[in-house]
Order: sequence, then C-alpha cells, then structure tokens
Amino acid sequence: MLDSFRREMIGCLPRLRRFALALTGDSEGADDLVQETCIRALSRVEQFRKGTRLDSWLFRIAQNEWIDRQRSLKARGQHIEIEDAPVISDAQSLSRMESGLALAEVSKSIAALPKELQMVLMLVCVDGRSYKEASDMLSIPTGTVMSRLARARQLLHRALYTGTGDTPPANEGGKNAISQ
Amino acid sequence: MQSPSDELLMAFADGELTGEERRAINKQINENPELAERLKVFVETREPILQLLTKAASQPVPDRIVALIQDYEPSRQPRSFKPSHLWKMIFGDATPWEIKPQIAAVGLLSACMVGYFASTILPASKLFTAPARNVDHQQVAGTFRLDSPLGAALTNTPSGNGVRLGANDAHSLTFQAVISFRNEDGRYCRQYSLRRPIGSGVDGIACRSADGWTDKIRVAAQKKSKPGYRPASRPDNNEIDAALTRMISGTALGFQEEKEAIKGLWEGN
Repeated sequence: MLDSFRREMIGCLPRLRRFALALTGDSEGADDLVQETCIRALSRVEQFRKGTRLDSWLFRIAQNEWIDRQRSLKARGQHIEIEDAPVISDAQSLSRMESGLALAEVSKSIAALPKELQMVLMLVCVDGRSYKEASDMLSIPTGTVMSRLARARQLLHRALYTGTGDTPPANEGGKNAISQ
Repeated sequence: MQSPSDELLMAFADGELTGEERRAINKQINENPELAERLKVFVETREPILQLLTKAASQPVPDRIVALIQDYEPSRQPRSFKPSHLWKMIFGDATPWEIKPQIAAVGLLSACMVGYFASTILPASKLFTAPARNVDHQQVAGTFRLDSPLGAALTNTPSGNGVRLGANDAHSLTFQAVISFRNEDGRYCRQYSLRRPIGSGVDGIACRSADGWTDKIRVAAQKKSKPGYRPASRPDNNEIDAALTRMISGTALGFQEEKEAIKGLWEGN
C-alpha cells in the first residue's frame, strides 16, 4: 500500500510543484513547500482514504501548510531593515518583462484571496482543470465552482492589471474554508 | 436579450460551453463592447498564468524530494508518550511498592536522557554562531553586480552582521555575512547565509570578481529535520566548511582588514 502511495505521490510531484510555485512565487520556496507537503502526507498516510484523489489531497495539504506559514509569519514579525528591493537576477527581471506578469506578483495576489476562492482558482487556472474536474476534486457543485472562480478571477485581475489589489482579507479557516 | 452572467462569460473564455451556447454568447459580445471588456477579465486570468507557471515550473523536481518520498518511514514518527509508558519500560508490570531494587535504573535512565538532550538540543543552539552547518543540497548561482541587493549586502555588511533583503513579507531574505578571507588567487571571498522568515535558506561563498560578486558555492541550508526522516543522500560533512578549507589562503580577515576591504569595495588583489 505504502509503495503504491509513494509511486503515485512521485507522479504528482510536477503538478504539486507548479501548484506550490503559484503560492510561493519562487522555485526555492516552492520546493520547500513541496517537501513539507510530502512529509505531512507521508506522516498521515493512514488518513488518506483509498479511492479518493491523491492530487487533490496533496494540494489541500500544500495550501494549508502555506496558510500556516503565512499566519506564523504574521505572528512572528520581522528582523532588520536596510534594503528594499528583493533579490532578483537580471535573467529573472528580463523574463518578467517578457512575460508581462511577474510570478511573485501573481503568487502574492493569489495568496491574498480567500481560501475557498484560492483553491478553485488554483485548480482551474494553475493546474488547468475543467470546471467538472474541479467540482469532483473539491466535492462541490459545478455551479459553486463557477461562482467562486468568477469572483476569484475578478479579484485577481483587479490586483494584477489595475494595481488596486483590493482583495478581501484571506479567509483563514473560516466556515467556508476547505477542510483538510 | 438579457446580458450573460459573469459565470457564463467565464465559461465562454475557458471553452467550457457547448457549440450552441458559444455561438449565442459570441453574437452578444460582437454586439456589445461592454461585454468584451467583462470577458477580458477572464481571458487575462487563465492562459497568461498557465503559461507563466509552465515556464517557471519547467525545471525538474529536485532529486532530494523524490529521495525523501522513497526513504521516509512514517513508522519512525515519535508516538505520543505517556508517563505510564516510561513506567512500563523500566519496571514492567511491577507495582510501585515492588520497585525498590530498580531505583538505580531510574537514575541511569535519567542520565541517558540528559545526555540525549545535551547532544541534540545544545548543538542546535550553535546555529546562531555557525549558520553554515547542516547542508544537503548544492547549487552554484551566478554573478551579482555591486548595485544589486545581494551584491550590495556582500560589499557593505561586516561579518557577523545581518541585513534584510526585500519587503517585510514571506518573500524577503535575511542576509548575514559570516566570514571574509582571500582565496589562492588573492581575491576577496565571503561566506554568507540567506534565510527566509520561515523555513528554507541557503549558505554560500562568493568571491569578488570584475563584475561584482560571483557565487562559488551555494548550498541549501538544512531545515530542522522532521523526526524520523534523514535522506540517505544527505552528507554528514559540511560542504561549506569543506569548500572554505579548500579555498582559503591564510586566515580569515580581521576586523580592521575587513573594514579596509569594505572601504575599498573589496577590489584589492
């Protein structure tokens, strides 16, 4: 059982990494998040119900792990101040200019979305899932997927293209949050 | 005709409608420019993001993560420990009034536990003075110009001091200069660490080059390892320490020498 679970998990890694990239905004942070997600999943393997989707389960673990980190970050405060600009290599800067969208900006805007909107958006716009697939993965009606997705994309568009970024505070574990 | 809902427009943009629905929405969009504006929101929030992430995620998943999945043993996780477990471990099924001969065993066990904590917790506290320990993954980065954030930090930060790079959020990094020295070519080099607010970080050695600072080695700092997991590929030795030993010529710069080097932008060699 564990061996097949490991094999399936390894098969999910490229998509999990892409999912994590959208949350963290950089490859190092994404790999770190993927690693934590894998450790959590393996340490709770007995909680995984056979017949359910492993990818969906991993995505939820990753999302919850990320939200935990954000909470912890807010609680801890920060260190020393001197510089303002983030470390960005020239190659990255060029890539950003070419793509028009910066990964860090996209991830920040996604992170600011309420949790239930965030997951739908991630499945459709990051993982490339259809509405029906997202509905199955989240066990919610397709109509709910569509209404959440439309709202999420309006907020994301506002943040990315008009610069207003007036997304509501992220719903961290509220009653509508997706349980792990 | 009633204006289509946002959900319907979004489904049109995502190719989720049937042929007939598509034709109907298409006709409405052609007749109403305001609908085209609403549609733009959905067109611009899927394909560009998919493309951006596809490009960003093109690198293969690091081997260490695959190794982690293959090696990790969930059964090694520490179970919740109750005092009754300890009692049973030492005294078996004996009742409290039957244990006088075994009191010495308690003392011995206590000594072992103190020794265990001394060997695990105390070395961790040394991380504050030796941040380059415990590494598991290596990559060599590029060159940082003197006016780049990392280049400026390498140029201006005295050893033992730290600066934050980036905004005060999850993406920021804290730079710390660890030690400065000259390599065999006489160039100035600096060992440094970069840490995220939570989780990951890297340790590296960069040497002054004509264009700025060039990373000679950069190694992912080991996070606090999860109980029970230690990948077989993780080296026991410290790669940064080994690189430092290979590279250093003479001894590390003293306070005054480093001060002069900072003043001269580390150009002398």
